[in-house]
Amino acid sequence: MEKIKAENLRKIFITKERRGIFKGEKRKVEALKGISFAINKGEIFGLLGPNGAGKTTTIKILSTLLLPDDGDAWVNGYHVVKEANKVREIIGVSLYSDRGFYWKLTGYENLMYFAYLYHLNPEYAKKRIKYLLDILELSKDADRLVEEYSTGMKSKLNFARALIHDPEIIFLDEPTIGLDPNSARKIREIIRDLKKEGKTILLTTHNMYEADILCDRIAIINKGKIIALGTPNELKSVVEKDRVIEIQIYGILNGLTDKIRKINGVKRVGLIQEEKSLKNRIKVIMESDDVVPEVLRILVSEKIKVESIKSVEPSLEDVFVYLTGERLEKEE
Amino acid sequence: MSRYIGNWIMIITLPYMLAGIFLGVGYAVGGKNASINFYKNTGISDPALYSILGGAIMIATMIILENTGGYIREEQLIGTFELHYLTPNSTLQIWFFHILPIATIMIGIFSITITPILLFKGNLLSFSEWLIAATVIFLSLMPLAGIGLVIAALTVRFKEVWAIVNVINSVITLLSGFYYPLEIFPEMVQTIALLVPSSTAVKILRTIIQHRYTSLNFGPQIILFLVLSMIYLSSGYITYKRWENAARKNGELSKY
Amino acid sequence: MQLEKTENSQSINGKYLKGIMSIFLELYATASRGYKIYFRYTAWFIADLITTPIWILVFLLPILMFLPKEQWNNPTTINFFFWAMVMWDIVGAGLWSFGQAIRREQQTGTLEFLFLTNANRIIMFTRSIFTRGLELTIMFAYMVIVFKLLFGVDIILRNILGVIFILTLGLLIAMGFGEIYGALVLRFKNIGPVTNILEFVILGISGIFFPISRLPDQIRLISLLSPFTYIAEMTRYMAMGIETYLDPGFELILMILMAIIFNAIGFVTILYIEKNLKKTGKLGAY
Repeated sequence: MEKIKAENLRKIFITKERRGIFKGEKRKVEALKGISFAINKGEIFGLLGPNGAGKTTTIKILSTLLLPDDGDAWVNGYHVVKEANKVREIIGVSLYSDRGFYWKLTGYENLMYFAYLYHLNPEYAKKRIKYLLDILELSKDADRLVEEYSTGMKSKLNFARALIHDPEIIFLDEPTIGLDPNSARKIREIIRDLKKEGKTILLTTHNMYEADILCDRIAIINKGKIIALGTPNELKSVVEKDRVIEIQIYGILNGLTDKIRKINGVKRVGLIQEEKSLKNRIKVIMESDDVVPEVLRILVSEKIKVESIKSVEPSLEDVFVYLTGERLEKEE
Repeated sequence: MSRYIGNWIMIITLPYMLAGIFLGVGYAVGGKNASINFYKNTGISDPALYSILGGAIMIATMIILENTGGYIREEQLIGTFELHYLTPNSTLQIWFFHILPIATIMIGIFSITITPILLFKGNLLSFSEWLIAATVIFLSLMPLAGIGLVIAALTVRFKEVWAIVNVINSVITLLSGFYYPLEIFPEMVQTIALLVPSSTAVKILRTIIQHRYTSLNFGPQIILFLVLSMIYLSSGYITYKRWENAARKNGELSKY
Repeated sequence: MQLEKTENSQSINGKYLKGIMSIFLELYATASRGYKIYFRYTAWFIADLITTPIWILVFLLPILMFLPKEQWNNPTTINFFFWAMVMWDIVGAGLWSFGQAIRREQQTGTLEFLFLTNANRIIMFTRSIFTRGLELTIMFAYMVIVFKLLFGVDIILRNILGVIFILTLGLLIAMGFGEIYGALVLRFKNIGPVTNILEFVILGISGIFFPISRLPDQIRLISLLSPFTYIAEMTRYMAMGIETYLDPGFELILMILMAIIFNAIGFVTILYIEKNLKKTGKLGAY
């Protein structure tokens, strides 16, 4: 049974670019180029893609915060534009933001305020908030002003707000971004529990690992288009017959990936830059191991400092590299 | 700066709007004898010029106070305040380099603001008069910057900068006599008003605009500015350093 | 397109409040949030108490310069100014309340989250109205004392219930005016400088400081279009018994009509701008 359906959604934003002191120029940015997908009841569906791919735009359209320029979408059978009120009743939304709370209210008071705006019975709201604060391990900080919260605590509070009215359908925009590993694990556990309760979840992420372990199905989205859709295993089967090696190097030389890409038998090359170190990873998807000596020859001739080379199982990351031929954004 | 064009237009036009309100209401309630009453009370026959000049100095005073105090608050809010402590510069030095251009801009704003009314009255300042006026404004802003530094120090500690700025602004505005002569107050209040640099600045600038000055007029006032600058800047420095150290100990630098 | 629609089951067993109760819940939530935040900025409250008499002096002394010294303590003149200061607060409430509330939500990043709920688009921004109402009440009492101390003049209050009624109605009109203005804030973000200019224009043309009969004919015509003219006129009529420019009964009816019309237009404008921002994607921008 389909709970969410998007048909040919398009969205163009007009941005103003500043040039010099007084000059400005309008530019069109095509955020969504006609995307379609459907999500079944009780499914965790992931929108996977780099920053600026159109993930948040999709969530905002489905959650009635943005009007599409073209196309239609339904949530629980209600049209997101024509029946926006009905849609809002049934969805819970966590948008990625470290703002979005009243600093001078406590965490508890912030949740209570939104509970009332959702017209929750005060008695029910109190119990529900207590439950959510407990499972998110925020209870002891519930009576502290939000201005004293850390980024991670605000993320958890954001997550709690999305669940405050126990919605059937949940949209989560980058739910674990900015969280420490333990908190991220906790959030993932809760997402799995929500699925067990029969909730339908749409989550966006650029974290391949998260998408792989959480999602029943994934749509890989890039530059406003869905370029692949299927279960994690189905997606991985795209590169199943290929061999993948991962080379860990220090620094990066301009044009190195291009040189590797030109080797006969190399299908795709992706560069993954580590956020917190000088290390970089190069993933090479190739037809067979015969290509490896030639790759090594290039590394030696370019005097690249190699830390390790290993053969790896195909992952969603490789699928992304394979499908887009582009390097990925920074990893977490 | 061009992105805050509305604010600048507001700053330049506000003295005219305030003067418009005061004159409009004044003439409406004062009736036929309004001008005579105004002359009897202030000794001035041109209420428009009097009010616009007062307004222009008032705006400069308020901006310097708000900016010097508010600057640190803005940095706290956008989260860059603590980062300054990671650079090899003194935060006071950074703060002071922020103030100097504002003081200079204020001279420009003051000049732009009063030019139309002086032009209208056929009473433009000569270059030397303008130079003296600019020096007076600059010197009178320095003690205010010192008060701003005290506000900045309080900001580091109490965060609620705008409430503090509001209180200090109101007292300084009351005691500066931007729109009325301070002689209407009891002598005690007039003496206290001497501690407010803008009250002296208003008097000097009115003299300059009426072309009634000689260089001898201003000697004591300039000394007063310098003394006030020293007092306020050093008390600002001491207070700031004290609260800065306390904030470092309590880990409050990064809080907003 | 027809997907299977399911009712939210818990709505049946009392999870949600419906109808008028939900409106009361929104009002309660908005008011209590407003008051909590207001009293947690204690520095502001104290600063207001300190600065109110000072600003009154700063504003009134320049005007008194146009009067002979003997009249500086004239009860009628001072009472005129007293009610003008009250009116100024009402004008400020009208212009700033919604605009300020919306701007604040934009800055704190809560606007999108508010629009994810089905709460009433007017009620959710009324926070300032509640706090302004309280502030006005406190300031009113405070200003009565301040005027007595500063000018040695008692405030004339001939019909206290009439004044309360007119000021409440005035606040409602101001609220409607503020909604339209708030919608502009929603669209154009920072319009603080424009607000200041508009506030001065309104103060100038609405007979806040003097009866509009003293205005030149052409300006008086404009002042008759300003809702604040009638609030000022009727307040002085109720408090001091000063004659109104038009028939007081007619002015009262005009005020009631304005309260309804301004609020209706304000509501529609906010909905329109919300839709517009959802088209441009600027709802979350600040």
